[in-house]
Amino acid sequence: MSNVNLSETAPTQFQGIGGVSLAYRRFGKEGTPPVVCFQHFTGTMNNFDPVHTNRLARDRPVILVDYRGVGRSGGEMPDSIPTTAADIITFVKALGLKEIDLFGFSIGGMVAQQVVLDAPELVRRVLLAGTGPSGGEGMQEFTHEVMEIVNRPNSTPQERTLDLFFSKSPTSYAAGKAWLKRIAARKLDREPEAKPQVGKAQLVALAKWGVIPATDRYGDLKKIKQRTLVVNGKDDIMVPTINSYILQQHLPDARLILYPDSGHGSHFQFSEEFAEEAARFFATA
Amino acid sequence: MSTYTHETVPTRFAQTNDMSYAYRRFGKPGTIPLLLLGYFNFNMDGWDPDVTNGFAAGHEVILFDNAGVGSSGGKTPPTDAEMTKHCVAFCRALGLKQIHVAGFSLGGMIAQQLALEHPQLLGRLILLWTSPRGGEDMSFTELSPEEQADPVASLLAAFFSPSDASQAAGREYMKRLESRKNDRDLPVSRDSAVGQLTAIREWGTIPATGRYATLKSITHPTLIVHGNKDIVVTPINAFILAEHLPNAQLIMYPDPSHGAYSQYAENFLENATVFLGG
Repeated sequence: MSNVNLSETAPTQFQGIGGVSLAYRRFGKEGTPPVVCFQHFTGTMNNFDPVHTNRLARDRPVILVDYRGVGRSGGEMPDSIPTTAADIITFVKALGLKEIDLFGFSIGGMVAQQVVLDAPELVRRVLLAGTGPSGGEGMQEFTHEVMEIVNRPNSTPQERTLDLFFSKSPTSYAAGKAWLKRIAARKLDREPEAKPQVGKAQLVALAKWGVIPATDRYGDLKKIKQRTLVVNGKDDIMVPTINSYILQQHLPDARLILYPDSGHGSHFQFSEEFAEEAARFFATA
Repeated sequence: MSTYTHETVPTRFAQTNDMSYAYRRFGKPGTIPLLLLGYFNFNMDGWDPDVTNGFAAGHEVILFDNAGVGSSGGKTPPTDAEMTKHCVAFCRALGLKQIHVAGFSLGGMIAQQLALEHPQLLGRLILLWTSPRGGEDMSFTELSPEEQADPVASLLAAFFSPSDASQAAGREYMKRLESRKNDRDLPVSRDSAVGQLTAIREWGTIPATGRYATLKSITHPTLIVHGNKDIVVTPINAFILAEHLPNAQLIMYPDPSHGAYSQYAENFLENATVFLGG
């Protein structure tokens, strides 16, 4: 059982949330609250690291889901994080789930924060990777460096993702290529890449999330009582690493891990270590 | 296989021409020893036995009193650089060619100095609740040598946050420190505490130029551990270390103050064991 590659074989399913259906996959050992996983900017379910999801699935149900408008989820990507969070809450309730854990990467970490703020009674644990609080440092817009990579002509999405998620060291780059290989392994039932509308709407959503409030800048974080694990690489160019520190300073019960020689995708680079730590985090009472 | 534990290992002395260093050595023989460097105003009995015994399962562990501290001879010097020299002299006296080092607070400052000056001696580096040279808020105006008058009260106040959970953990910690009944270390003298405090404050002085420049020379794999409500060494210092050291992983725990691993001993040991490769 322990080495079954569920992430490669789990079928894509659909759940209606009123008007549209969200594409999702559910696999892993039943009997504990499922961990619901949210994807990064323009990413689909294809991009979840099988090292993470297979490890988590040994202990608990794993649910991967594509936001409205992403992959084969119907409709258009909303241009605000709270609207997306509302979709997710509807989705979770439609599945009949009473208690869940959350694992969000990048924009997915913002969705996770909003879900726990808006439906605290549903959420047991929160894992945030490569993300930041609303109104964080340098989160108002992507830097010139990031936009140059995002808009680079004659480049493939894989090349752009390597430059965005990994540091410039040979070790980090090699780890990035290994991750790209892992997420390409599943042949069955792959999601179509995100359409252009997704990126445009997500950029608007990110800009709104980045607005610094006039008062009580990180006040919302104090309301998140759930135990949280925050993870990032030391040189994240997409969501500056200081935001991971800020999250842990302001969340009432959060642990922080920063990995060396890595960026936004540090949890892909240190995939085994991270998967073990995540499994321990969700397992503790 | 040594059967000694933190509680039973006898105190020994390493002799040089002019010094006698008190130490305790136990754990798994045939491994790269892990040298533990302690903090302000505490001796070998100040280490949490949950942690030292945990390390000893996979590694040889060496506790040691720097010059003038506890049962060691000599006088506590007023700089980290001189404390580092004593460290090296101690390692040479034991014939140690390579060590891993875990330094707690003041001990973490000495560990950084050791890594800079004797990179070949060091394998891996664990920095616990410490700061880079010239870190943030490192003037330590709140610390005084008089704290040794009531080390228990000062530990509970400085090492643990005011939350009920943290204070309860602090009392458990104090209880564990009493688990070693025989052959206890000598208390830290006032002179020694004065020397240590001078050294810590000197370390905390912000240099005129190149504030964190030396950190990039420490290329050893490093694990940094800190608590996000530390009032002694503010947590931004751990973040600065993680950002400037070329090969460092940071783990920051919630709630606890200066010395949080006792509340998170299990998670800390799991991570440290993976890190040390033991």
